[in-house]
Amino acid sequence: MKLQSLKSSLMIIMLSLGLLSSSVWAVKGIAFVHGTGANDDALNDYWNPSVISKIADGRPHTVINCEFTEYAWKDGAAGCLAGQLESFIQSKNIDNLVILTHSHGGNVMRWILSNPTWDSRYPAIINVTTKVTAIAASSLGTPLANAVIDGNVFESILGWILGYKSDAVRMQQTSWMANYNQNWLLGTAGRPSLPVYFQSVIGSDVDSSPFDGDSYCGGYPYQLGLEVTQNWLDDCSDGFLECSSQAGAGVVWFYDKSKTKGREPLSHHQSRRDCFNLSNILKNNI
Amino acid sequence: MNSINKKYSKKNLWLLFVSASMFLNLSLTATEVTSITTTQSGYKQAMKAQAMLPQIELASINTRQEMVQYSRALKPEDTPNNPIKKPSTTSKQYVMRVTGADLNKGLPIATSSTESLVRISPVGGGKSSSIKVEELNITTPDGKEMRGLDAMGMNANSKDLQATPFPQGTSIFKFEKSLGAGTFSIKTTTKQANQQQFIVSVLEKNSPYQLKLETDKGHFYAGQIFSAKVNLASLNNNNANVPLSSNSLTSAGNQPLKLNQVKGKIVSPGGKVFEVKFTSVSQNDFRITIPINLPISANEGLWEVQVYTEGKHNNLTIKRDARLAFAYNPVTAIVYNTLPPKVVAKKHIETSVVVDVEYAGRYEAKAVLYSKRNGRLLPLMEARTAMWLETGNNHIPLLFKNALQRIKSLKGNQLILKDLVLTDQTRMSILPQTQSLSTSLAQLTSNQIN
Repeated sequence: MKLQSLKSSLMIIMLSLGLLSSSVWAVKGIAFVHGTGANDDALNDYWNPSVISKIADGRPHTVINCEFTEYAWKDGAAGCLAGQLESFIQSKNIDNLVILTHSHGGNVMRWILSNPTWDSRYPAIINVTTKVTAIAASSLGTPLANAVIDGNVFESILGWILGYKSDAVRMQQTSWMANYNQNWLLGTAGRPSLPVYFQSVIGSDVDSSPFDGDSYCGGYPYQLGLEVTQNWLDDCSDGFLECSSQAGAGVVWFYDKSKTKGREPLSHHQSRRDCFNLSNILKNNI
Repeated sequence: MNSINKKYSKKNLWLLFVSASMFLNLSLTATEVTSITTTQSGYKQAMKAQAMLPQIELASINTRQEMVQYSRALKPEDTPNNPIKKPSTTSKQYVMRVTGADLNKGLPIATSSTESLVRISPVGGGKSSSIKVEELNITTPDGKEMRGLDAMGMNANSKDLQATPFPQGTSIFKFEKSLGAGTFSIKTTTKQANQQQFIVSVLEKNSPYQLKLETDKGHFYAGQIFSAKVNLASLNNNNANVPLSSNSLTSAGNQPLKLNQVKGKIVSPGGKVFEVKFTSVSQNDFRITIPINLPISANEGLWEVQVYTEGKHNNLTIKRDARLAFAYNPVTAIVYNTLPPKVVAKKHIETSVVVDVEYAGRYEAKAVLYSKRNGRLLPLMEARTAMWLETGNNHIPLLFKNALQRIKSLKGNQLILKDLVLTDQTRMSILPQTQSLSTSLAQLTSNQIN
């Protein structure tokens, strides 16, 4: 009886050690994936160094720099993203990858998760990814992309939000995204689920009153522009994307006002800045 | 690889036709078949018309050679792909491409609601050709000429719009609410170069009139019947929320809403335009039903059907445009057969999909393993394999990794492989029939496997 009890105790100790060692050696890493546009310094040009360091909080992390001006499946987009994620995973021995995307970055990430056999690098990335947090994702496209393409003048666009070239913009037109969601991408209503937990953060409005200090977080001119572009969108939008599009894939984590400081809304620009305690909210969920 | 851009030949087409017939036989003898009658005729038409196509260059989007396999466990609540809804889009807006000459003499802007939003963008962008809102005069539907700013609500010039995606030189304004609806005219006070082109778009969010454009499917194969319909409706039957200008009110009768004109285009991913004719089927509906046998485009991206319409209701002119994307591809391969599943290394289940390939390329087969009990299907696992296939008959192995572990507790349940989808990754095309076909490819019980 004593021998039996000793054996059981030893077993429990060994199991605990095993669990302990696996949690000690699990390496969690964070990847930040930008939205539409070509970036060679997304840390400074798209995000902001203080936002990244606040969210990463000393953990291994990488800031992706790719050509998200191309269609999501292209080598410059998903191919580039896969290459940089693979390098990060291998160089830091990451076995628990958390990915934060902004805007169209959510679609490019969803391309990888939805088409695991497209590229031999994809399955390994999917297997170590534990969570994707898609901030202001253009999952169902945006009427603003329709408006920009209307009349066929898109070749001359110079816009920070959508980028300089047209294919990523074309892809984000609402009827195009409906087609891609139906045939090539997972995670939207009526489609099979994604292989990885995919949660969305939703920006629901734009404050642009010059008398409200909150309008200046991230830069007042951006808020002014997004207030105008809201005219193309429905009542719940971050100035670039309707809430329904942002909530279109995976599960909704939260609508901005439910968690932000002072219940402030996050415009499409502010949702990649350290506005209204967003960085801490994201950090605490890693 | 060098056969990606292979041209159609009579021999190849004959092979395709034979393959198609075999595929249809297979489908008809399978145990669970849905919608086969419609897809069968569509597929035959596609094959027949594919033979009529001119020589074509095919896209080469993904030419990776290596085999990649992937499988994952599914949760009982995981939804399989739902039946495809008819793709559709709605519109409360229209776009005009006009010249500086048009704006110099006065451009009519038809509106059917208050506070219509107008955007003016110079084609090619640039400050030199931009028109500032203060450089506009506006004539109201009542014939009153006003300084532009007095006739506008919200307005913004290019310098206020730098943080937006619109081209440089864009200006935007809304007509002042009290001016009502009807046809306005906008005229520049600074002379524009006659040849300079502008895009003028009008968005009428407050209007009850909505255009709907719908296609039968989101993916067409060369030679299939392409069908689309257009409908103009008033979302508010009594039209109470359209405060007309006084001029419009006096002459407004009680005429019914009528869609007078629909101009249609099909546009390839490369921008090639094909005019198509929509015909009226009722007062507010137009339709098109034609065999689609346009040259296949090697460009990536989707095709679009575009409509430019004009309707009337009482004294109001209602203009609406809409664009709807669809995929258009040739049939490059078809599923010919599937082999019975077998147990591999005492833990995996493997089956093989036999594919008849007409155009060499990278193809993916995927399927879902279900368990069936008391008539209810529960998804267990999904497996996918993609690999490069040359012309002719090929096998794609599908490996459900560690499947036995998952089905151990399901003794006695029937196991069914379903939802087989064959995808051409080189041309980015979901191949016909398999997309929505619900065919039981193999049936076995977990007892048999154990």
